[in-house]
Amino acid sequence: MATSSMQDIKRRIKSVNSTEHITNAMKLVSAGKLRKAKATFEKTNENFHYITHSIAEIFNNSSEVPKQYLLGNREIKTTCYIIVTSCKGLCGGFNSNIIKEAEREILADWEKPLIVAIGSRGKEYFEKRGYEIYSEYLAPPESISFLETQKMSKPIIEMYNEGKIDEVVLIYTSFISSLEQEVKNVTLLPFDIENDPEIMKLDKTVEYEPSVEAVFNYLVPKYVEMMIYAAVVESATCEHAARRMAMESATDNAREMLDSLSLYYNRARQSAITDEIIEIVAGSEAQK
Amino acid sequence: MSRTVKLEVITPSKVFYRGKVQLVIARTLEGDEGFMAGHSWACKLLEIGELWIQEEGKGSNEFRIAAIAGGFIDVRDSIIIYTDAAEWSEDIDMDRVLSEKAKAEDWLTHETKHDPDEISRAQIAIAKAITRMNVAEGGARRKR
Repeated sequence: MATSSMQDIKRRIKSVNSTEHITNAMKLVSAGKLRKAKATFEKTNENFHYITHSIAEIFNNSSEVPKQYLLGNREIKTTCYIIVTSCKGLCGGFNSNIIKEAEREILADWEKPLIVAIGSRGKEYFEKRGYEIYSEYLAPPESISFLETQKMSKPIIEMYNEGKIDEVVLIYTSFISSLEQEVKNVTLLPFDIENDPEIMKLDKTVEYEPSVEAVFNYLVPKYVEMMIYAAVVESATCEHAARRMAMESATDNAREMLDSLSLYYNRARQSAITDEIIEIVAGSEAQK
Repeated sequence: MSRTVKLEVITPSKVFYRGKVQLVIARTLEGDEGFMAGHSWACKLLEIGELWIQEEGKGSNEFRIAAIAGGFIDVRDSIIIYTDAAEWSEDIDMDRVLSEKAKAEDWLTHETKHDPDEISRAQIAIAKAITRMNVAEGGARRKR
């Protein structure tokens, strides 16, 4: 009785202990990965800020932007959602937050959406629910190179130009700090020029070569590519941060459990000893 | 002493160059073009080609040369060049370039599929390789 519960507790302590080892190791691993991802993210972020800003500035200051890229030029029917998730679990609410936001967006829309899934988690979720996945990229996000994001965005832009899709929305996790991440959704295309208060009108004319249109036809895909690349890098950073946090709390919980379990164990052992003493005393009393 | 202008060369993964320069020569779609301080504002597309930079305080013949893989140049009060990839002449690994060039050429001559995408990709690869070979040897201009 007492011995069997002691054995049970012992067994549980052992299993919790080994789980604690695993989560602790994973925490250390993802802390290392986070550091690396954060370095890449900070580097690209600095550049992208520049480049997207300069592109946005050009868009805002030319009256000759090809009309198809501007908001209000055609009715928005089919929307393409680019959903950036991770390929691995065990990272707390990271994936479910994104999926929740994405689903909310998709359900708010009448038309059938087109989904481009980066990372297997989002793909599996939406596939199971019968959505059409246009394309998927399942490589771990930290290993996706700029070249690959180029390949991803090419068909999207082609479809946009052909009129198969009318809007491109990017849903990803934005990195605020190691402890805080936020799901963001950004409309890549068409551009909404009027509603961007950050951009100043320029007072000089800008020379375009070979022609405004050629420059724009180059810049628009570049802009989309870069935004996707930046989102992938940022999301990878967030994934590691989220995983580190999840593993940290898992380790903490495991340690807490170990503490209370060893308390129960000691209690059970003590009561077993007390029982034995009582038995011996009672036995010797009876022999008198 | 000539005037200088701030130049930034940005690639997706890093800031490739940041500094004050007297002169930048880049290959636009319409040919090599030099940019100096006070250039009128412009936004031009760049070809795969060489990028020549004359840094602040250098003589008229001292250039740093890099190979860049196309992109665009945004000339304002400062100059920003955005490119997909850039490499200084001293960092170019000649063996790799040669093997890549051979691979692309081999592909073009032997492959029977005629996907225009693939063909243009191979041609771009060859153009990049030639540029890098030229850059590694001190630039096409200097060779002439």
